[in-house]
Amino acid sequence: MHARIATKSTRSVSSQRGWASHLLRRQGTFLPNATLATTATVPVPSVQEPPVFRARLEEHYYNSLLEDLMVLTYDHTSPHASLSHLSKTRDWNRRLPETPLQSLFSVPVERLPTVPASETTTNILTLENARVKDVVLKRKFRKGLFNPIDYTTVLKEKYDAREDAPPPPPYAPLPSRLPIVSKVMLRIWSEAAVANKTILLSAIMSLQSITGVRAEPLFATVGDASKKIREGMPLGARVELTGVKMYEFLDKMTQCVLPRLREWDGLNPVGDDNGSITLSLPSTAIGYFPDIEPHFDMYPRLFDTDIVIQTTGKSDWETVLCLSGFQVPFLKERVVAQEEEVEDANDPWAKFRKPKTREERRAMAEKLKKMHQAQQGASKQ
Amino acid sequence: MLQSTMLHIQARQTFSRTCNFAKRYLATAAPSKIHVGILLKRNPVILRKLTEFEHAYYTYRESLEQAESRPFHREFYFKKGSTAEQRWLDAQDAAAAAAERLEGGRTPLVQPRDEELAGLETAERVTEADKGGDVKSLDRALERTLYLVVKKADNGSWEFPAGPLEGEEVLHEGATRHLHSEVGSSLETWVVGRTPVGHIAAQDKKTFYMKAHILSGKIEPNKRFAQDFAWLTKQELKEYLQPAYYEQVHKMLAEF
Repeated sequence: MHARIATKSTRSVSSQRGWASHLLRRQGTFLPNATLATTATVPVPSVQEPPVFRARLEEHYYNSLLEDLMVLTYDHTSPHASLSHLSKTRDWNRRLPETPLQSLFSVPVERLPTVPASETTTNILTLENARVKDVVLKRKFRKGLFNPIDYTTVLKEKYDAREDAPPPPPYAPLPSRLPIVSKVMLRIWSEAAVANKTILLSAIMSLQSITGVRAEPLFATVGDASKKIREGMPLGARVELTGVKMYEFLDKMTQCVLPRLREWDGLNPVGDDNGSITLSLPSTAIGYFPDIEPHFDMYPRLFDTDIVIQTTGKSDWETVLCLSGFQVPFLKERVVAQEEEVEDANDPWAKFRKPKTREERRAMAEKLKKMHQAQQGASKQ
Repeated sequence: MLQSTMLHIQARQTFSRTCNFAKRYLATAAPSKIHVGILLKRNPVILRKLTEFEHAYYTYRESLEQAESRPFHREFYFKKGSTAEQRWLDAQDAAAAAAERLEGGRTPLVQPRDEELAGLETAERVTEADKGGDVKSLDRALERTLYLVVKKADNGSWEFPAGPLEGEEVLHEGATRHLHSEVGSSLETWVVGRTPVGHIAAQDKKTFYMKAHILSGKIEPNKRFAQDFAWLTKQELKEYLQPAYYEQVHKMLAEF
């Protein structure tokens, strides 16, 4: 048995909870999603809580949109598109078990929680405490890895370089492979809360109104003395939506808010190429939500909100296609930051220029890779 | 050197042999014509009716949520003494008299009746076209998907609109062109992508079916191709279409 040692990190976590504990919802008894035996392989992302009503966008997706997505993304050259391959997949041979309700609701005794999940727990042996908490680690090697043997440093780009992401799985006309919206995350970050943290209550209230879910406060992870920010200071709020509440939010946004945005023609169809796409709503737009508009005066301050829509698409194109089906408007052309045209080999200042955009960083990483490969090739010969 | 020359000559001979073989084979098989068929559909307009179990489940969930919800902070949403607050309070009092008590002595919250919406009437789920069985109307079976079928002019059988491709056009272009010629050019449709959703291979022709959505317009069947038309659900199509034809096309159609 391990006693929990009071370290600096745990102290700060508990102090954060102390500040916001009156805002955190008391959790009732629940079975973790992982313990429910599911046979479905249709894209059904984990739900936040059991639905209270049926979402029309969800019905639209399963009745009409899924078929159209299958046709629009169809790739006959894919090895997984042939009938001989499909007929062997699990999706194709999906059959209900003989006693479906029993298998759906039966949970092995070993996997039952020992006590109901509760945040006000003092028993360190409960599941709640056994779970690995999401702790923000401090960045240790800020100035580059220092090699004490020959006193050289490693370039930040090389140190931060990661393996390329694996290529997306080949296309298959199966519902489990087709894109679906899985999560929507809303985030407010306001450094004005440094002076007066009660303005965050307005932020949390506005997020709660438009989503119907309790918002969590966000805390500063790094301090900035010039802006008077200390680590652990509450400066923002966030909320994550899944399931029916997510579809309702998307519905409200596309029907009520986006059409009323001024000088805005659509989202930029550029995401992280892995299913996520971001949108930033100005504070004026938050007032267009039907939950806020009638009581507009009761919110002392509304904030710019960042919205991240996460889908199960494997590329930007799939994400944009899926969201277009939900009437999210997009610009006709991608708006990408242009690289500077100063690609002179003789430029003595080139190595001191820091790459600013993601495209520049990628170009720099590729150039380094090529140089490294050329060096390796030269050394082999 | 000699070996490579021998191999080269062998390769050339094999190549010419296969060419002759291919020519003979292709000469006997007649090239089959490519036809394009159109699966024009109207998506469901309203959500389907909930089953008894679903209705009971959602009612139960709603009552739980009402009972377990945090108290509503009236003072946050309404200014004290305002007319909006008074209207809301009157609505709660009226509902409290009629509604049953929940746990904790709280009554479910109600929205006050909006004057703007008071004049609106919700439309019926079962429309006039449903009652009259008007299969030519798009207002029928609002919760189902409807497909367009036409009665062919030559043999009087019910089929999806289909016709040959002209010139160098591709499937999605041919689909729009043929649809306009067969059932009227005032239609506004959207063909889903460039990939067909199914095909029927006959002896002399292959018909590839393209899926399309109807956005607006009126069907005016061209007497040259079609005598009559109808908008039908998948279950109704089983009665209208020839059994052999239905067997070949039914997997392209959405269940609901």
